[in-house]
Amino acid sequence: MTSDMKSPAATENPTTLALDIRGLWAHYMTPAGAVKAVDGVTFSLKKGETLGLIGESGSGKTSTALALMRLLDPPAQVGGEVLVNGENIFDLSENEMRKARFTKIALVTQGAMNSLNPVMRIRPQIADIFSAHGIKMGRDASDKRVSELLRAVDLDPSVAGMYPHELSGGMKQRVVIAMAIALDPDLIIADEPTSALDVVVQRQVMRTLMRVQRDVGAAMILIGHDMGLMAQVVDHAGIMYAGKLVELGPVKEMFANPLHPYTELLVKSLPSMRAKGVFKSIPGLTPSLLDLPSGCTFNPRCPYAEDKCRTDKPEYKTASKGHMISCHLRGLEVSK
Amino acid sequence: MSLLLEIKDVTKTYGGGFMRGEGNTALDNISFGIDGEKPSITAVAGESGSGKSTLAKLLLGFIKPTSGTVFYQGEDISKIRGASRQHFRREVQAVLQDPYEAFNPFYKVDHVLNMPIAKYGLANSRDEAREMAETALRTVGLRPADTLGRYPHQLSGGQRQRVMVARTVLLKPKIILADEPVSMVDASLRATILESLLQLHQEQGISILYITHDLNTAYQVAQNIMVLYRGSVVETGSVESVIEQPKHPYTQLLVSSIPAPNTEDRWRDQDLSESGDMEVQSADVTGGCKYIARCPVAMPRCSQSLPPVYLAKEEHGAACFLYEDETETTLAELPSMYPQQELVSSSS
Repeated sequence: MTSDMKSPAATENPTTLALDIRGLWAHYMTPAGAVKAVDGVTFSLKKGETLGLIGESGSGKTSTALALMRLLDPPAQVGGEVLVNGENIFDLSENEMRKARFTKIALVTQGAMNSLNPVMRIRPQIADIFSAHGIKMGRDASDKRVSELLRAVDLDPSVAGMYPHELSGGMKQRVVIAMAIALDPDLIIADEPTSALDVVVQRQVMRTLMRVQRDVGAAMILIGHDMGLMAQVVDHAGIMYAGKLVELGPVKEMFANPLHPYTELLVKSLPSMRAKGVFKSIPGLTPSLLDLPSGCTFNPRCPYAEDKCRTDKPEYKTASKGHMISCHLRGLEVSK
Repeated sequence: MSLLLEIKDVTKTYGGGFMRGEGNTALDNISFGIDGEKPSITAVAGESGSGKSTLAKLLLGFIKPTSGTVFYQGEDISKIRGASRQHFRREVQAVLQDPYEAFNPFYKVDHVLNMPIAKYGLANSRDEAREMAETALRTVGLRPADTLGRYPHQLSGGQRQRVMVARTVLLKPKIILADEPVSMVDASLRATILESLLQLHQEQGISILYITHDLNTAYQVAQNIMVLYRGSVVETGSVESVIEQPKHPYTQLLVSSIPAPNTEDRWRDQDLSESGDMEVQSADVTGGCKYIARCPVAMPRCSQSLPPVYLAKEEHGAACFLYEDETETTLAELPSMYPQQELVSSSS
């Protein structure tokens, strides 16, 4: 792949990694050419760690999630390496991959309302996961497990007997989280799990999600564009722009000292309760993935762009331990 | 001395009726006014089901109140007919939540701008119409060359929403009802839309009713705020006072739930073992405070009667018995609900 980027935990013993992604790419083949939705994404996560994948719409966040789940079908093409607990999921057969979903990687999607079958009660929908993975258990054992899962996500076990339309948005999202942890996955991918919820419910659902993640010991990728939520929840933040990770590092460092100009603008554009009526929007628009600017893809919107930014693609550099950026102007030494 | 838009003792109940039970009360005896003299930005905040959108529909005249009246410049909007109805339709504009649904995908974006120009006969020639559309687009920070002649799917959500704002600009309205205008737009693009709205308010003197569940942006744009909970106003006042020092337990919960964009005292580092405030599917409360089922400080008397509005702070009202030692007031006496001028005129 075009870029090689070491990730925060890459120097550690690889067997401890829950997730190790190297040069992941996903291209959509269109009549107008290949759309590089994900272009050489590299990072890794240890058990229990959370990475926030942050970016505007069209930056490749969701495509990354779908590629990780191997849910992209032709004409999309996917490549690179995705090691979940040391096993490359791109080497699995279709049938093995089907089994790997929920046991290795579980997805919590954006609109929980659309993930549940409206004409089925909650209990059989959760129990379906067991039978689909060939887990044979009696009716009683299955019911007991469903109740446990519902309790784990702060729902009353009586919810099992309800239909999705009887539940509020937050409750439905909790049901989807209960399903995601049903088979103790190594990795949970949460794609804007709370963007459809009110602030109060969002906080409660996120607390539940963080707790169950800790309890099953899974790594998590949280996808979203709400910098506030990311600041509250994730350990590492990966900033995506036009299919590439432009900055990756510990979230606390990123907020205190954003390095990439795009990250800096994202952090500055946050409405704060301190300064009223001051809007700092990021000028310009996300580029079309079919017609990317030459050099650094962010250069047309970058307030600091210099000549070299318009012609040369930036390499990944190490700013500090576990903090990488792709920018000509910032960061210290060139990695590798 | 007059109110531009006034909603008086309005209750809206969906469903119900003879032999069909009580129905679902979306708004419960709400009164407030928007000043006709001095343009203002008022935020209406609340979670889903609080009655925010019902309020917008009532003010636009899309639905009729079950009881009470909505007035536009002193006239009952359900009785406005003919030319003055056209006039009302022009002066009260809406920017709604979903910029994807507001466009007909078969027409170019131009259609959205040309329609009102044609309907209201704003331009005398095609060139003038084009000129007007271009000016309106520039006002909201869009380049006409990149916008006109395109189909809706070729624009981003943020651009589409700004086209909707441009459409309202054409009509030079007195007030814009913005119902969650930025909730479906990327966080990084929200600022541009709010910026356009704020600019219209400042430069063209248009009042804005900003309906939202996002207290962050409400704080950014509005002067006054009212917080709705299940159809009732629980707190109202200047936006600084209400958000910086919330008085009602519900507003306090709302404010504390906002994910702060900094990494001090993160949710991740808090004790997650107890589930915290569980989501309650509360049954209908009859008589008492509607927030009682979720309220951490509920008292016995909260179930007995609906708390009136108390002046928890100067010009800052909260409908909660915690403040019963303070002066009791009514919504009509609060300047955030009724601009001061009205009070002077009614008492004289």
